[in-house]
Amino acid sequence: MDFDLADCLARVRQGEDAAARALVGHLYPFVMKIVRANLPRRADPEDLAQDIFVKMFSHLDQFRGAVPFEHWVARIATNHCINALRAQRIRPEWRMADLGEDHAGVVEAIASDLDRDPHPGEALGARELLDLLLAGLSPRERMLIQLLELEDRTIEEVRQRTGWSAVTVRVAVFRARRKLNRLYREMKQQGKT
Amino acid sequence: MNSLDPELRRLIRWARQAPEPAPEPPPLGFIARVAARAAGELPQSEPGWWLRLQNLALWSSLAIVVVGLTLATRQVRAPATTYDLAPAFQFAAHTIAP
Repeated sequence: MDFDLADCLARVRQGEDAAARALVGHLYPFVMKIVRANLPRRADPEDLAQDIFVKMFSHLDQFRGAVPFEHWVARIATNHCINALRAQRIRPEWRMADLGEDHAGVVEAIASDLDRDPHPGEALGARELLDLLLAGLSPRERMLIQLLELEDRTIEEVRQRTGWSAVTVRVAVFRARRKLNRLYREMKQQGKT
Repeated sequence: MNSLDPELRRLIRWARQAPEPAPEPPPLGFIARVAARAAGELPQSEPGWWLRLQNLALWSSLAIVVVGLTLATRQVRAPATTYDLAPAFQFAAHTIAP
């Protein structure tokens, strides 16, 4: 059965408890995907999701329908995760020794093989390796790389998601890519020494 | 725009092929916890201005009652004035305006 979002929102606005529950159930997988993509270390994804839903309800009267509701919720979720990451103020300094053999194998493979597809294990290893590199970026930079490079979003979509201007997004992406390049070079350098 | 190192770009391409976790339903009790926390945040059926007006009326009435009681108490407990004006009133009543 299709979920009628407009009808559900109208009932939530009238204070109907069942509609609020249905809305949370409907949006939960979507919100969790954003939370897991931007998860601060040591944070409980459920707690973050709970905070995001409470924030969503408390600001519901500000939603005017100018953008799709999911975009609006995604903006709340993304900003909440960024704030949580900022609050932790963690910039983990990883070392090559932290990487397992799988990760080292992935680094070697991507440096040598140009166009082959990864084995399932290599894809997972690549994902973990990338997460380690992303952890060295600021929350904003990490989110931008996540959206533009991993999720293949456009600048316009990122602009809508974050509420930043296109120029701000472009400048921040420029810096994020430069920093990620540097982190990758450092990681490889440490691997050689 | 600054581009990524080709190896890094390949790493990202590989990472994108990692299986996504299956969409998960909310854990048991999650919706109830959110509902409980959001209960105060949900829009009320009565408009906010009406509630604010009710509150304003209530507190104004209480303030008037308290001020009134204070003034009444002060009057009752106030010491008698040192100036006794009764003879002056009597004089005025009998001589000026009989």
